[in-house]
Amino acid sequence: MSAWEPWRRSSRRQARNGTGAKMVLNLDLNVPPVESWLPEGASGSAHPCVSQEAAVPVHPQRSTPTREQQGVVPIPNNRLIIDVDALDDEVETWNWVSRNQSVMVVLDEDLESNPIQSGFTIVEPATTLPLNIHNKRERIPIDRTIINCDLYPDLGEENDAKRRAIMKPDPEPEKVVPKEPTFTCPICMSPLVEASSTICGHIFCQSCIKASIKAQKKCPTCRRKLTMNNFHRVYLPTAN
Amino acid sequence: MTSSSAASRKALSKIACNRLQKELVEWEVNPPTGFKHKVTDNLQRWIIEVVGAPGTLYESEKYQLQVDFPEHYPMEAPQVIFLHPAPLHPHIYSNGHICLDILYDSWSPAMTVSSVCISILSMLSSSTAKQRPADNDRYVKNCRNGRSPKETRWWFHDDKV
Repeated sequence: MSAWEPWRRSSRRQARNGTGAKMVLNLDLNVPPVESWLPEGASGSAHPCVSQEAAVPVHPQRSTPTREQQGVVPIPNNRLIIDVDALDDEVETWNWVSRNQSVMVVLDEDLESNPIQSGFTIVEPATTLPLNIHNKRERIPIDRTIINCDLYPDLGEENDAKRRAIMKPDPEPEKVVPKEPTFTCPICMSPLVEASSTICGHIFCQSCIKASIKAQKKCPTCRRKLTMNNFHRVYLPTAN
Repeated sequence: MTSSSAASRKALSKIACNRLQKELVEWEVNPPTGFKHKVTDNLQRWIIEVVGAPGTLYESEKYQLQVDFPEHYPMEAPQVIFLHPAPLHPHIYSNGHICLDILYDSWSPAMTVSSVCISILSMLSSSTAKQRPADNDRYVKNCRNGRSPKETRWWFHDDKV
């Protein structure tokens, strides 16, 4: 959570001074820049654009930090935004959250755990999260609730071991990708580093063939006479 | 050749060490037929037992090879000799030195202990007479001061055995 601090602070500062000078990153480009609305030095706290309930679409990465800290909150506004930073890749597995449900769980990466274990229950039937969950511009429809797992830190810790056991199988499917063929250098017998071919077509690590030519002036494989210019880098294709 | 008797006493370079560890692993998985590596904690000196191949003059005879690795192995050849008693062979001197080109001039860094062993067994197997080299006594006398075979200026004349 400490990683959120800087921008949380900055968003408050913007809310206070409202100069807009440092808000460039915060703005949705579809909305006219604040500068054009505000006379210089105007009090931004009163300005709708930068107030907490602002309707201006703020950049999703910088959204709703304060509210997340407050835990379960009914959202009064239809402009709330998913904090995508909080949604780690692993959140994909939380497919019981759906667009049509009335709850949304903002998860901290460190606090992911089984919702039931964490003490709150999701009533809705399980549905799959839309694929565009990773779309950073996604907006949450009205009447969503945010459940903040921060409220259950002790539970999270209790379940730490369990959760790890649960989360472990997840990265597995990604590694099923066919293994890249690895070629071994006949000199160092390790996977090729900066694969280089001699003019006779034999492939070694660049450093290995250099050392060999220096030592013997011939190809280690076929003994063809070689000089230091008689090899070049090759870029072997990958499995993908 | 380079002065390798001194070099072989120098500690292995990191590259040499890595490569020898890989060779040892490969050997354990897939040892050359007729050879047995006698396990020691010395990566720089391997003692390998060889058994004469069936159907050859050396059938079932057991000999021991001593392989010493130089600091810059595999850029430099290992020193390979037979421990006493060395097999009676036209290219093997009574002090265990082996007249085999790949151990000296024709060494290549792509060769391995395993491939060297196979060459030596092949050399033994193709022998038609159990005899010492013609210049054995003279050569052995010259090596009395413990000279490494790698310092010998070998003359490789026989491509049949």
